[in-house]
Amino acid sequence: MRASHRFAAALVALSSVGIAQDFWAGGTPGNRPWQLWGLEQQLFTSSNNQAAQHVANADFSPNLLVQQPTYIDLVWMHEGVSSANHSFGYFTYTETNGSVEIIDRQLMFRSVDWGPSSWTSSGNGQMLSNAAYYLRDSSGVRRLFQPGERVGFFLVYDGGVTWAPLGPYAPIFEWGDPAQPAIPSTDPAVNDLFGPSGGGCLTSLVRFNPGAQRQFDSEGNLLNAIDFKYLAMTHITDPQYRFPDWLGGRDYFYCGFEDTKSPNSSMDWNEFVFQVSPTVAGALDTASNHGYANDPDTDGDGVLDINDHYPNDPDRAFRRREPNSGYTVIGLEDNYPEIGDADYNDAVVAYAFEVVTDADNQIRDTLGMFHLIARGAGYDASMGMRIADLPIATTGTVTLERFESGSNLGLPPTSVSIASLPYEVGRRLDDIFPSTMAALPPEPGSFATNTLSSQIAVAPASCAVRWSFDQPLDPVSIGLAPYDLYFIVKRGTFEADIHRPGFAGFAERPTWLPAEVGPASFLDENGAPWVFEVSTGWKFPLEQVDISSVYSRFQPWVASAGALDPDWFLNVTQGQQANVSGDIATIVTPRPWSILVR
Amino acid sequence: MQTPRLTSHRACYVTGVLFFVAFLTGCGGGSGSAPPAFTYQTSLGAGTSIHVQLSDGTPVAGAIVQIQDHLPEPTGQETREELETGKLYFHGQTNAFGVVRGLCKFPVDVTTCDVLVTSPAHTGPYTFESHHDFWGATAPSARVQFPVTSQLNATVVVEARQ
Repeated sequence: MRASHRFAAALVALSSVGIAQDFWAGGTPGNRPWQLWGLEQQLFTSSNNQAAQHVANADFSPNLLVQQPTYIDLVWMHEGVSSANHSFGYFTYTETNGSVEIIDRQLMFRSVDWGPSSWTSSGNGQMLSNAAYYLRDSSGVRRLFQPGERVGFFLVYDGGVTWAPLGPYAPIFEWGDPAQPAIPSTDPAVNDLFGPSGGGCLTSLVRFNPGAQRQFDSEGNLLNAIDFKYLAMTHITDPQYRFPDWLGGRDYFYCGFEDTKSPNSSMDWNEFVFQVSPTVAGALDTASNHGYANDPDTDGDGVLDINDHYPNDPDRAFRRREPNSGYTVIGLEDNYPEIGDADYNDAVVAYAFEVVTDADNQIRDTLGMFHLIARGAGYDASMGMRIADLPIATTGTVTLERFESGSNLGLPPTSVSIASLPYEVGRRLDDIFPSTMAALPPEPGSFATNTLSSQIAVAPASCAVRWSFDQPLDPVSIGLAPYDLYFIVKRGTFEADIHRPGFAGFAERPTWLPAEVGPASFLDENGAPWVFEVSTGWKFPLEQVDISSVYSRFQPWVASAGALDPDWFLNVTQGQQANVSGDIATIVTPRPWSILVR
Repeated sequence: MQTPRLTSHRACYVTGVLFFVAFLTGCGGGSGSAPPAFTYQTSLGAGTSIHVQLSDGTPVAGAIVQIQDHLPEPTGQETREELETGKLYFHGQTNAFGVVRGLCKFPVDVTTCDVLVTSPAHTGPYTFESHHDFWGATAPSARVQFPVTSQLNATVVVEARQ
């Protein structure tokens, strides 16, 4: 027995609280076959892992249901938590008519960290990679699970934090103390706050788990169950991945734990990677578990289900958000064609796009999600988008869904055919926001909205625009989102369309307005744009605050035609914070929009 | 045109296998509807063409290719969370010719990126082998650094895992 395990066992005898047993089985399940390295990579690749998301899909249970008496073994494969030492255990429960009762809880590892002699010198925990462990009962006896028992797993964030009196193998924070709640609790609120750093207790049961705000449909179904699936589990039965010298050739479940509460999860489910295996073949009812078979491709599009964001849709395979996190922002100066007050807050819109591609990387959908967050204008305007270079023969549907300012209920979606939209060097959709003034009504006593102080007075209005194409489109041919975003400012006697520099004005604009063609379109006599695109690092100037006074690198950017200081918007001039907005990313109201199969 | 060459230094001496990452060229254009001469952008649109192949030129089909933020060599002080905050700019799968093409958009302050290749049956080069060590079996097959240009052409050479 390793010294660490002897020490852990000694603690069991010394402490009056429920210190975990030594679950080590005294060996390994064999030499890890090279094929398992590839399988583990396939399932739990670090970061942006579609495969684990597929396995963790809400349709699949990451829990075990026993139907014949069996022991259950566990093999630790990988631990990748560098900033905390989590605790890990299992629990048994019953589920009757939708009601769940936890029967037993066993802490297996107080500190899931590599052992001191593993490859990392910082390891001070108990985990041995490639080592087998028995699931034991509270008396330390290898547990023979009985038919009808359900088995789940849990972790406590940083539960294995060192307690000075007992050293690195100290009992989990408050574990077993009769004065403390039993963990895991059936109450998500209790699990939410448990642990020394408040990271919580995360389980394999969605209903117990803390995390992001839960979203329900009108029938009470949880829409964002994936946000509460902290354990991804798949049943490996394929002969290709079973080996006589690994678990004796038995079937097993490959499991990965996500250790951080949503919405801040990395969603890669690979902080702990382990296997569990029943010792009796067929002892578990696996009907509700995800089953991994080699090369499943249900929709036949050439992308394995496990890599396919849309495994049942042959026209769609991958989805990407742009930007990956946060938003892009455009600011409008609306006094076109004259130079205005240069506060660029006449309309401020934050947006992000999702782009869905097929197996050949051709675009099938693009979804723009727009949030009008400020309007510092006396003129009303509409905002639209044009997909320039969209082939005129392109067919499909554009669907719009709006949320009025302050409302959490979306208005009924409306749709139009792409072919019905005006065509002018691409299709135009003029009414993302038909009226900025109607969408963001003026604050009392002012013409403006949300540009008078750093505090937001009126909640943003939002609109999602989904373009679904009947034919796959070459992404190179139609360019990148956001395509051509524009405003049509209503000036009373005329209307002026204003675009970002480099885009062409519309043919119907008044003839006395500048022609606006070529790379230098929509630049004023000083070379400044009327509309620019930046990231949410930008804080827009408040009413009638000249942007040059709060962003000292704006003028060098303009004077160099954009060649210098392209990141001018990231740094507010020292002492000018009171003259700009708050953090735009925190102003946006999240909406449940996505071209997403959950 | 520029042709920087990247190799996986540690991988070479640890595994004794020489991996070769072919080339990267910058040839401009390909950003879609905005004219190429336009310079007021606060982001850069980039065309991408990534080839994944064996050393004998055999294409590797079905490899998942991602372009993410460049991850510098760890100092040992980073947390896992800090190492996993990179943004995703591109996600696709190689076709029968071992090629995936598309467009991606980089913020202007992003000057280098990493091309990640995930193909369970293959291993490949790492710009920093310590990344491979850190993620163990959950690491992608290859992770190679490239400079961001308006046209990112890259070939990643992998070998069969055994």
